[in-house]
Amino acid sequence: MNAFALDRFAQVDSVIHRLDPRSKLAAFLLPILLISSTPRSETGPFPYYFAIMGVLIAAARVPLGYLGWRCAAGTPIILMAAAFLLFSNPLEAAKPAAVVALKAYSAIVLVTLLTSTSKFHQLLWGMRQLGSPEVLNLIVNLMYRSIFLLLEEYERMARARESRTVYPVRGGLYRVYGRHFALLFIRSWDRAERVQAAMLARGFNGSLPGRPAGKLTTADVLFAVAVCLSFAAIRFVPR
Amino acid sequence: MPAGWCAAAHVAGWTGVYAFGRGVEAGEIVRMGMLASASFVVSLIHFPLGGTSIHLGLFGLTGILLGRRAFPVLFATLLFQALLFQHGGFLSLGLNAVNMGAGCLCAAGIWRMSRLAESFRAFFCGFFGVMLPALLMAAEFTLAEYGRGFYFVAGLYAAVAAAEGAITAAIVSFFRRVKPAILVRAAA
Repeated sequence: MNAFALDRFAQVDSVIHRLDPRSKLAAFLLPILLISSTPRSETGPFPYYFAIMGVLIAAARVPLGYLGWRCAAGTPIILMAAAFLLFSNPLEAAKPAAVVALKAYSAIVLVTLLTSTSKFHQLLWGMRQLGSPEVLNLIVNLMYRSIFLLLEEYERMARARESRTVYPVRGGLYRVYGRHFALLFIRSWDRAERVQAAMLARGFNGSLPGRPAGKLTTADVLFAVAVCLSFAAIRFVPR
Repeated sequence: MPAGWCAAAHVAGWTGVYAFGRGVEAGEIVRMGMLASASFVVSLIHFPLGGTSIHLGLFGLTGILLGRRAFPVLFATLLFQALLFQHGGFLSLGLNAVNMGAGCLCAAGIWRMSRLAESFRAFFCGFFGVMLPALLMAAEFTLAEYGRGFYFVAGLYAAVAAAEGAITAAIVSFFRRVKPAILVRAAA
């Protein structure tokens, strides 16, 4: 896993990619709330929801295969959630279980569209402009930069453990794993001290510099309003 | 879960981030980010338990190391997970943060009970760090009339919680031997 694999489609150029991140955050996240408020007894709105999502997918030029892979990754959890309903009330729960699954897949598609049409740091910038706390943005920023380093670190440690550990382990396998996790935390702590010193030496004062907040264009506003109103119309206008 | 509950939990979650993240110093932020990354990486690792495998949450350890700062760190981890991996769901982010954040804060409180021996404290931090979120989730799903059997499932989590408690105790014991400074953080 690496950083480039996660937002590789953010490099694509499309009409949606060029929109302001604030507009995309509103357009892709507010509909999740609207879709989730759909009563569990109603499956009728979902073809219309997915039709709008289809238009957004085509406009964003995100490959269907990638969306399918994202949906497939979430399927075990979604099936488990739907299964809870089915086992509790098999006769009446088929429709609610299907609605739960459709809501979950809708959320996956919308969040995937959001993260595929903006670079990660742009999303964080947009969230900050919309009022997200600075501390949250900083932590997520640091995570994005360091997670892949720590994953590689752990993979090296795991290889060393497998090649140098004599089984059965005296004291139990739990202790070995515990010590390895502890070692990863210690290395993270040491790395944090070095990174902190370097950042403070470069003038870090608790906030990261970013581009100034520009005005939203008419296209940005129209996109967000149009998408949200479309989903709201499907949700609330009686058919 | 009802959309209204999810929205209310989001409000509670974001309020928690503001409240527990207030006054963070520049030096603390890097440590919080790095420990968040380490927790995330460890949570990706599948750990054998019985005939199956689990992945650890380490909410107890996060509470021990970060105190009340564990809440914004946990929220950031869940947000990161929801945005990049679409795991956990964006709408349920608030509920997950409130449940798991309660586990971290409970562990932070247990860790301050200096009368208990350190290994017991660490075990209970790990145990309740998992058990409390499981019970909260069971209560929420039951109140939402989503289905049945959630308390039974939460009971099964006791085995996972015991494993987390044991691992957390082993981790803290290793810290005490190799890097005790990691356990002495600024009062938060």
